[in-house]
Amino acid sequence: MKQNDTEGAAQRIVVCLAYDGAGLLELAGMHKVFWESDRLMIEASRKGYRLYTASETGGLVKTLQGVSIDTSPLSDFVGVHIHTLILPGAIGLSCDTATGARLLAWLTQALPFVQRVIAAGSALFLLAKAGALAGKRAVIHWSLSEALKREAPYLKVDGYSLFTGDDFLWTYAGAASAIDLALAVVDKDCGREASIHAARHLAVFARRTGCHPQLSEMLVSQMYGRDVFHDLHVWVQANQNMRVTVDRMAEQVAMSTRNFSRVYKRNTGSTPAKAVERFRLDPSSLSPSYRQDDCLS
Amino acid sequence: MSNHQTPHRVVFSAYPGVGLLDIAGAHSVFWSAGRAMEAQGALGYHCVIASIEGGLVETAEGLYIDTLAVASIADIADSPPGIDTLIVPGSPDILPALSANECLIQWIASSQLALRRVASICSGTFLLAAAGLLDGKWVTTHWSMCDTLKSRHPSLSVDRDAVFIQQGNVWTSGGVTSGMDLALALVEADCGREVAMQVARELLVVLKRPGGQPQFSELLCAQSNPSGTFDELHLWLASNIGQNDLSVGHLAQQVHMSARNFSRVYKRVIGRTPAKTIELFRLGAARRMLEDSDRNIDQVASACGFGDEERMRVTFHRHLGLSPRDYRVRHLAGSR
Repeated sequence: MKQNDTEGAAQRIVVCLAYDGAGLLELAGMHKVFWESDRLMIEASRKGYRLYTASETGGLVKTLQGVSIDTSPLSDFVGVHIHTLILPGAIGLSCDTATGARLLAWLTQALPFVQRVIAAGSALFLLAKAGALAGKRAVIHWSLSEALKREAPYLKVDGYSLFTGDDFLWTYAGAASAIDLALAVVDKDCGREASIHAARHLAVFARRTGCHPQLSEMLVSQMYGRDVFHDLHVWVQANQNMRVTVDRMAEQVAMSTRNFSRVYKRNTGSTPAKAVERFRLDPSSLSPSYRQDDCLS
Repeated sequence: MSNHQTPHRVVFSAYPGVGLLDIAGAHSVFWSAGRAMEAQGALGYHCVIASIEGGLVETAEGLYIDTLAVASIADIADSPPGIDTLIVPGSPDILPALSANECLIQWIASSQLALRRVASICSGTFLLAAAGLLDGKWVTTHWSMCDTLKSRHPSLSVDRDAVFIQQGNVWTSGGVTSGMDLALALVEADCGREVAMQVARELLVVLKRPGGQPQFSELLCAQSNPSGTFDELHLWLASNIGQNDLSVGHLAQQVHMSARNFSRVYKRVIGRTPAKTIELFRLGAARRMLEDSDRNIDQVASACGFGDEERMRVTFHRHLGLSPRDYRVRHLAGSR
């Protein structure tokens, strides 16, 4: 135990918990950010990161994309002081399965000794059951925020931001934003120089802050005049019986109301409120290919 | 779009020391695109990670990934339509990896004849060069390795200012995440723009970068100053660059400072005036739009906040030594 303590002082132990169906990109993205930062820290003889990938029983775990990765069993980490525990989201991860129940049992006893948790998607449900989310704020991919709100009503669910972070819980919305989150974590642990170093080595386009919208204005404007509001119009048509407000439409496309109104007007030439009004009079007015024709001409 | 009876077969070559994120980034793009295509009833992608010996391969980041032996995918390679796309990822320590993976280089050299296209990610360009696939070509690689690549292969034109480059059926990309941009471009070529944008949205990338972009975007450069004071402001600016009445006053307002004080502090922290930053951000946005859209020059000028074409032309000449029109022509020619 004495030895573990000294090791803990020299390195931050980062354990990524993997299970079948976990996303490979988020796992690899965070790994790479911590690894690049560690390289810099080693050069500077400063405290870096030691990275582990674990699973309940160890051995091969099949990621969402079908690539299998090797893992250490959780039993290897008994008594180890985990600095950062990463819990990626996974389709099929649920407390209702036998595996989920065992992971929950492990989490419940391990969490008091973990300094920081990074989690996403379905892993948030496990954490909720483990009692780690009371009064917390979490983000989730905009396409899933409704489901999480139903499942965990006491949690402040944010379907708009890229990631959140406080002293203990960090959450991220989607695969690429896991990189943004890891950069912010490194910034906090090792300083700005280390996070800039990692960002440059990864050649990311930008260091995005947590409150940056999931769908950046830049990405949205690339869809300009193409399919940007296609899905939204399909959704409005499918929800004819519901009172569709501008706020709900903005939420549906993961934008702030103000930004949505601006982008919508620029794309379609009409305000969202006008479009909804027209739609009530004539449901075919919101054809999914609306405006596409004048762009081609 | 092709009429193959089977999904496009995309093979990633793994080797000890390979960059995990180099593989994972491009792999996720193809995987998501494949699902989107299948949802439309179209053929998707079949992704395979292969190494010379097969089995577990240790990546640079220390994680082991499972691979098939190249010999066991030989039947894929030999039977029509064979391997569609070979992706060669890089390594953060590429020079030792080169000498340790002679067999892989030979396999790349021998398999390229049967491929529709081959693409390298990051320092994977060194492996393609060693396999003799790049002689005389215009290529790119991780920014930190451009000089090394040039000195080892003098016949190459190494472009440090590109996210990715296409030369016939050979594609090369810049540092790590540029591999995702390259993969999105390949997906767009195969499946159309809508699918590529859908994947970009699903993965929450910042934007789909066209090839001729610097690996350090104007935004990342501005965010690379030691103090983080203006990071938020720079993100805001990048998102609002289309406003043609953007002034130093607007920026000052964003950070709740007086215009005079803001200009002074900004210059001291960032090392250039706010007006200069606005100009650089407009230039970056215009370069992307010229490469990535069909909009005419004056539409680009107005969408990027230049106001008129002439102001954009002057800015292009000052920074790039060519007109927006020539810039577009050069990039269209380069990607052919």
